[in-house]
Amino acid sequence: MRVSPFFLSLALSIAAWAPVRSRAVAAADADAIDDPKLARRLGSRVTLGASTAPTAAAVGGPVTPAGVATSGSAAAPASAPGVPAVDVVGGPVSAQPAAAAPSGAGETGRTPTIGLGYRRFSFVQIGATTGSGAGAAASEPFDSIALDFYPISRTLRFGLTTQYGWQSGRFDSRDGDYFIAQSVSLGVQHPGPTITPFAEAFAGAGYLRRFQFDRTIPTAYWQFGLDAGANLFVAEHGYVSLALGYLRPVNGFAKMQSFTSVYVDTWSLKLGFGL
Amino acid sequence: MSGPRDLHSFRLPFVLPLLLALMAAGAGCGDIDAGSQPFPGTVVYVSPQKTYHLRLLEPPWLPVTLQAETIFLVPSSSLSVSVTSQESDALYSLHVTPRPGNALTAFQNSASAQSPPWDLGSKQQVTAVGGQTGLDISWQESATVFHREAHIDGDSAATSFELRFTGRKSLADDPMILQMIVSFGPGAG
Repeated sequence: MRVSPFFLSLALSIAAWAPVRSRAVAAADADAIDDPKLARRLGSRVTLGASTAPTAAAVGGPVTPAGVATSGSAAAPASAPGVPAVDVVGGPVSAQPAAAAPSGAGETGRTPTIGLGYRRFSFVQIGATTGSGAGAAASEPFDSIALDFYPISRTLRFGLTTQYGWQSGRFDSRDGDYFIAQSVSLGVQHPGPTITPFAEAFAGAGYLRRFQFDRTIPTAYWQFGLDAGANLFVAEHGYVSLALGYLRPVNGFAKMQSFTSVYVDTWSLKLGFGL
Repeated sequence: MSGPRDLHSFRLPFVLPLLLALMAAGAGCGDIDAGSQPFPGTVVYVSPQKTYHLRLLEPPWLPVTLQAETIFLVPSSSLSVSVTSQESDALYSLHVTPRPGNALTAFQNSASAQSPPWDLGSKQQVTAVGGQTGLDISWQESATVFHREAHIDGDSAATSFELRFTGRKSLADDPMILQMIVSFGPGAG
């Protein structure tokens, strides 16, 4: 379907004018003239915002007075009677306002700001084994919830995550292990209108409570990893997310009179939702 | 353009914790890979006469050397470990005793001496990481006294070792107790 240049120009003008109009209405009270007589004679004052259609002078071109035809202009107004038409030499003045210019991909796409996440991963139960023979450490799955906040979330994203994790199946048990950690993340994302894929690296540290032989053993916990996934925006501002990642949880603790640390390399799954 | 603006927004307060975290991560990737190392995070205890060794978490376990033997204890939080400490105050204890005969013979001798007798249906085979085999059984003595006893072959067919654990709750299926049993072996290891 062919669109008339006039309607196209009109649509762009309306689009550009819309935000200006709201500011103009807001400024109307400030521009009101107190004297009624003066107000009737002068009418209301119009304040042009910075994002209104640029005049030729504003862009460095020749000034085009009202009623003057501009060569090259597709919608040149008819000349008023008795006023000679003046041809202005120069490039055509764009009728398209600056505010209607298409914005960058990073501004049209949608990105997360804050969210709540659930992550599951497997660590090891220090000092425990599940079978005879090899002496491999017993697996200890952890569930965790995390509050993610992204103070920077455009093409680049920077996040702060507060995480609480517990030994799987022992959330309400006094004899389970748990940890609290604070992490930072840095990654990239491709903001889309509905799906925003991302990849990020993260690192953090905190406290891990080990419960060994009915004794609470305070230990250190730190972690780093990589996540790759996507945010799916399902409402005007809300999203759900899914990420798979590599994770290295590390547990540091006292061993006799020294300090040692144990780690595993594992996969993790993270689900989330947020704004 | 969003890129340059992102970089302008990337202020020092955000960069600083990130750099610190990365430095910490780089400095501490971990000492022991639990995916490939057996008994990660435990220490090896070798008896004074080098007749046996085992791996344990220390803390909370503490070896207390007496004249006749070494007792392993998990003290309660209020207990200060000393020679005068009462073993009954400990949360867990372990006695290691050499026995004549192999593990099966020693297990049968111990079973026949129990009163009331053990439920032998609950016994299970164990194989230590050093290859020694043995038998393991758990039972309850009273409301707050539980036992687990393992017999492991020694370095010859004529000797074996008895590992007797005592705790305040059931020790059956405890993966930490099992870790100590399967890490046990004769000699210095």
